[in-house]
Amino acid sequence: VSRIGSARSGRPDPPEVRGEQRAAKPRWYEHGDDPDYRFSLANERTFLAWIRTALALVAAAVALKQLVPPFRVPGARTGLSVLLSTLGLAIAVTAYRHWVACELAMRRQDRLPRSRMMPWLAGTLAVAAGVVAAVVLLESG
Amino acid sequence: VTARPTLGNPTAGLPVTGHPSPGPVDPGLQAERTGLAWTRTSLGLIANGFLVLRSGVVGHDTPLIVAGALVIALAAAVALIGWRRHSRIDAATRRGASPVDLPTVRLVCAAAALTALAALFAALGG
Repeated sequence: VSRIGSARSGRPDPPEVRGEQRAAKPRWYEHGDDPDYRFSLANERTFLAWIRTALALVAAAVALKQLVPPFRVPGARTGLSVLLSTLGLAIAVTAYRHWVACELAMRRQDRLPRSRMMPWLAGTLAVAAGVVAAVVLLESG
Repeated sequence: VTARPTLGNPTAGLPVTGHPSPGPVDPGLQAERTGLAWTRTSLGLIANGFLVLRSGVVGHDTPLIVAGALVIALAAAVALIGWRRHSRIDAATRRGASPVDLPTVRLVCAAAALTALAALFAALGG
């Protein structure tokens, strides 16, 4: 096990710091030990990748509503736009919670939690692709 | 007391294994890759900010114009975070501290949530 970058190992805190820590209830990011810094940074990059996924969904939603002419099927454009932006909002919020849960699991040396958004993302994109295929068929026919 | 391993000196305090080379200073270029991930996220925010701003201008919708301008301002802040992230990670690991920066994570999350809310607003209105 690499201990590169793991802080506070084998180094006693100065007494004044220890007194402060005993007085205040430790926050979640003070539980356990600092993980290897590379793992924290990997967690941060994964969080940012989820945020970018949310932003891509939101950009698709806005572009659909703004730049694509209305479909022959009433409400299809608005429905798709609402679906994509709602998924984007859900992913943005859960990305933060997932980042916190992963950081905490690493600090406590627990098993890393799985992201619950993965099946939702895949399922919603499959539904959206189906709707787009149906709309394209109806528009061209 | 031996020096603890840090980003700047990853082999300090580790047992000598007989290899003369101390290895790369930043294995995997962690700090640089993380800074670039922030920069890419900022680009995504800028694109969304202009899309939301355009929705507001075309539809004469003041709340959307304000939201778009706010997202662009937050994108600039995220770009600034990305620019400074490399050296801040380097500094934190040299101190032996955690590189986690909670306010920046919350900021980019709030920016993405605001963008998504603006998109939902634009989708439902008009």
